[in-house]
Amino acid sequence: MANKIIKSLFNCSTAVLILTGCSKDYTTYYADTETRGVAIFSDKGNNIFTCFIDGISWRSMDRVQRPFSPGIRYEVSIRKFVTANTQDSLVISWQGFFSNNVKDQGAFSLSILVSKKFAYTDLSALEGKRVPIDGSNAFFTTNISGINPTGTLGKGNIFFKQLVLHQASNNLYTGQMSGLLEADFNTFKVTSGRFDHTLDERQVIF
Amino acid sequence: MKKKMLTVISLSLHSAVCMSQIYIEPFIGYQADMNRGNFRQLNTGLQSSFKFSKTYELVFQVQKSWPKPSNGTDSSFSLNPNLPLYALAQKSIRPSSFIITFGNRIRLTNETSPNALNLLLNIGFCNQSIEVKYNYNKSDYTILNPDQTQDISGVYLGGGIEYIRLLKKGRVFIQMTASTPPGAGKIKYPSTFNIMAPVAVNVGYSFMVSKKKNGK
Repeated sequence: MANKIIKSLFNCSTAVLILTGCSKDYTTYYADTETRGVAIFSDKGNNIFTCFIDGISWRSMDRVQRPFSPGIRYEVSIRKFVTANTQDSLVISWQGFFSNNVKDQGAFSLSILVSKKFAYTDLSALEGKRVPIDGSNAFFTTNISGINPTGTLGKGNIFFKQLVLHQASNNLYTGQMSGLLEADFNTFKVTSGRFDHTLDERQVIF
Repeated sequence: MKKKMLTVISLSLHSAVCMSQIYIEPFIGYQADMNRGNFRQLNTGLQSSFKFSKTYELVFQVQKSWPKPSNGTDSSFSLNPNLPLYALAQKSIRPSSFIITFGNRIRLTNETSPNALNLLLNIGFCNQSIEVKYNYNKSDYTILNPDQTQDISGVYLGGGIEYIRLLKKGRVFIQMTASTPPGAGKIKYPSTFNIMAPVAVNVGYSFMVSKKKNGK
């Protein structure tokens, strides 16, 4: 009887070890010891975005490959939406959560109106530039429970320390993106925004 | 259990004291890091040597290493459109350490000569504190890939060579030692520096404080 229990316990723990062992986390969080609640500003491909939203620490979810899952869960995406208007829309969107409420996930995004001819090389041209976000041609949005219920568009600034895209093959891009951002939504602010990502083919859609 | 251990330790110390000549040895020195860093330190310390035979001494050492600050710069960036995008942040790194060592001093040369060349084999506990401070406009700028203060402790191993000259009333010595970094030897942070693995040159003087009871 005791042997059976030991055997089943052994089998269970082996299964748990195999399942957890297969999960891979591509995000690295290095806490900023001077500004508590956010990660350091880095350009090493740590795959993380952190900031304060209305003074509360908010961070992107970890980039994780789960066992038996077909793909990787990404924390950021860059996508160009083709519209019926004279301009298309380029959206950089981060999926994340407040550090004190992990279960309540949402999104923080930057939208920029771009010409129909806007290509990945135009995006790379923003590297090293501090870009003002005026709140109309370019704006921040949130889709976070309890935040910004009126859907106010945010204005502010973003700095791209890195923004490099390489064409891996037709319409598939890889690259790096890192920088700083801050946004003002009138009723609340997004401060100390730092992002640092490697980008693979499934994150950049043009 | 604790009582037993204390009894064993005190008995060992007692027998070490009874069976050996004892020297007290203050020393000073200088050390440099050979583990990717560019750190320099000044050493001060005190060691007690128990001479059990003409060729072997057990050494108990306490050493404090004082930092020689290392200055540098890192890049910082501002989102404020009224300020320059880029500015240099002044960085100061102060590496200090504290070491407790049990060492073995093994004489390699002729036992009767007043000049002795010794082999040193050390094991001990080391605490390294590498303090990082930045001087920059913290309210408007953010440092890219900043270094952070690291405090690491652990067991280390060391070894070296020592020259001792016997004098009428004591001994002078000069020693050159190399040590491993303490503990796992790695910092779990993307620092521009690593834990120190010092190469040291120390000079000191030996005062005999107790003569072997049945010794010459």
